[in-house]
Amino acid sequence: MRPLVQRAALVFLCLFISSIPVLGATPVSDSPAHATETQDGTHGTPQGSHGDDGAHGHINLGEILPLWSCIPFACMLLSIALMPLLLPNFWHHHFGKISAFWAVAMALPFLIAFKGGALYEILHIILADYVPFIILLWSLYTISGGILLRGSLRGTPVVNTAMLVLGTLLASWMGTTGAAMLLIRPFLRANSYRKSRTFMVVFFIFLVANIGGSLTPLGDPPLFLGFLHGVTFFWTFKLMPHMLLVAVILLIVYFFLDTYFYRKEGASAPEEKSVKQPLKLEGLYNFIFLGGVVGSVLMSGVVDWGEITTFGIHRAIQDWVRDGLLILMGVASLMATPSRLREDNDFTWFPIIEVAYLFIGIFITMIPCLLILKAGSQGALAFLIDAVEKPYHYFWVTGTLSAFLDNAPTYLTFFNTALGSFYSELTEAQAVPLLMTERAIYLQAISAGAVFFGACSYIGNAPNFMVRSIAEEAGTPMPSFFGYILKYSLIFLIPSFVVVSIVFF
Amino acid sequence: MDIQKVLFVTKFEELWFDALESLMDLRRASLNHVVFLNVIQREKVALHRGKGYEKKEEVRLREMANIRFINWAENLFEQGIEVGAYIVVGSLVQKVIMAVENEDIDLVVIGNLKKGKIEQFYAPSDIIEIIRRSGTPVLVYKYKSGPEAGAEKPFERPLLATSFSETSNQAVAYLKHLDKVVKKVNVINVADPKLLKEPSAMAVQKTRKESRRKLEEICDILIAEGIDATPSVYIGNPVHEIENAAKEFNATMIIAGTSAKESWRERFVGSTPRKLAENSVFPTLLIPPGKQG
Repeated sequence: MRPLVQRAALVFLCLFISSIPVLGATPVSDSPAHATETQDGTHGTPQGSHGDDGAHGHINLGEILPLWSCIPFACMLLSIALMPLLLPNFWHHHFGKISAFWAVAMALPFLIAFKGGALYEILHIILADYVPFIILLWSLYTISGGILLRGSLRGTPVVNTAMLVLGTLLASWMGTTGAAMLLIRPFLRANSYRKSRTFMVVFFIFLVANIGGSLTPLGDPPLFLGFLHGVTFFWTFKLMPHMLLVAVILLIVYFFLDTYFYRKEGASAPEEKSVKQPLKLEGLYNFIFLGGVVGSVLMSGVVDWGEITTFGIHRAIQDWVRDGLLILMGVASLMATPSRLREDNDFTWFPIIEVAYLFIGIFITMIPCLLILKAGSQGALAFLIDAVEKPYHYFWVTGTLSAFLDNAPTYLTFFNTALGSFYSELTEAQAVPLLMTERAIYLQAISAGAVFFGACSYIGNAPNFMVRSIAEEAGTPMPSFFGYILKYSLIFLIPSFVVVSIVFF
Repeated sequence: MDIQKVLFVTKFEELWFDALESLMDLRRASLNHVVFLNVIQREKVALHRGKGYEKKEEVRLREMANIRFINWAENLFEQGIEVGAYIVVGSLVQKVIMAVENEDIDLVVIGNLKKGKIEQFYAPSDIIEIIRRSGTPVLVYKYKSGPEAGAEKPFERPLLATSFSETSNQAVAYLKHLDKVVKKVNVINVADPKLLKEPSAMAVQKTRKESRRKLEEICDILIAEGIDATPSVYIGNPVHEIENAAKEFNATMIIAGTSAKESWRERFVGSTPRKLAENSVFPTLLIPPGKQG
């Protein structure tokens, strides 16, 4: 298998480099000038770059990049989607190398072909997107991993529904992963005496691990990427009606299902068999650190302390300060929380390390795709931009892809599709406020699609497979990959999304 | 304090039965019960993207461990030793501490758990964490010349590294109870290398003499218990000098006390016991502060 992969990489490298003469006919071959512009703070891809600020160079990479430059991105996403299913052990031990392989497969020819411009784009996406993205996820994961809910409840339909409501509300403020990890074990313990538990965990994944995270940029990674690209913190509250509609539908369905099974089973809690432990929330001080995270993110969206240049990349001072504060909050949580509490939470670094490895690959490989999409009808993905017109197109296409690929890059892809479609002549800094106001329905469709559809499969969003694993470990049988989609997503989720689509898009 | 009950923690990758056999001398120091512990790391069976909890894999790993433990147990039964076993899924530190508390363990024997750089940054040393939280001595077992060379008897010729601290005194007290097992102890102190910067050689000599006097006192205590003991003073980097001394005296084990340093400080600054446990080629017995004596 390895020689085949190496050969494929070699062919890709040759293809990319062989396109240099063609590209050389354009001013992009003038890389020194490009690099100089970069140092001046005006890089050469005004429409085609992230977070650019009115700069106007003389070439737009997005207009000249070929469609096949997106192949590593597609392969990266397909690797994440398929390899854990087809080659689970290989994936588990080598996902970091696979991510690095696709990143190098894109970055190396990109650098050879576009030199300074390519270096700028890579550094830009790392410093402006990847670093803050990982820091936020790390801090939320670390802090929420220090909160432990002990004790046991009796899992009646009312109690279970209340727990789902609580988790749905918490998800937007402590991240879907944090809320899911906080509540899944108490939820399982409360229902350990019940016979039919599978559907409970599935609805938990729907609501707590996905849909609940749609109200703030802290809730779900795609929304934080939007925040990093200029969507304001409270804009995502515009998704409140969408979220409420889906959540209420699902909660009602859940309540009736739970009540039906509860009565059918004639279940009674084995109270006399075990000593009932009172509910107790430990590590409460971590909520202060969570508040610090919310405050830091809010602060970075409100103040303007100017910019500083790092490796030729302009970043707002408040963004660096935010990242520093988030690290501080995470470290404070690590210092304040006893190891025993994290152990009782079965806290492990593996999920966040996996995300860090995968997302460096995702971010680097998606550079050409984002540039092409931002070039709008001038780019090689003009057919996609022309095909996706209506808000419901954005909702369903973003959603369907988010269900099987990672929802964060999918969000960013269609976010850029919308920018390219409506504002291809404007810089991102100019276009995003317009997208949030004039074309808000499109951004709502993309955001809701990315967050909601993440619930459709185990691989749509990171907490899904973690919840599945914890539930199975605790003895709750869970459906297979396709069983989950066929028995639950298609029956309960998709009809809810149809309603959302009809009502809002 | 007697060593009646030993917890033998193994992943079957770094510690085998011959290691345990080499500790059978401890029967003369009251050893009568061995508890095996195999911890299946959660990541091996859970949290795999695309898969759920791998129950079959857990059962397979449990069965493999169980078969090994049954073989080992039969051997120990023949030597008149009681045996217990835990095969559990979870975090190593958590499960070791749980077993120590449940079983009232006197000594934990564990392999060298080397961590990657990232893990070292994120998590404190498992061994130091076990000592700090369980308050039980931990023997970090190592095969001096690799596992193929077989195991020596670690308690035969230990090297006791002392800083004259309270915890070092705990180590002396611990050794006193091993008079039937230990043949000879080399007691050393490594003086602060800053002394070498002293302008006068007199100051260095004075410190050396003072250390030597304290070491002789320790040796007298051990000799009174029937254990042959020799004092030596070294100066320089403690980890290097302790390692060198162990080689010089052909020691079978290094014994050191652990400080009650905060785990955060220990994580970033490190500590001599941690470095010895992780990097020394010698088995290292780490004594916790405050419990023994």
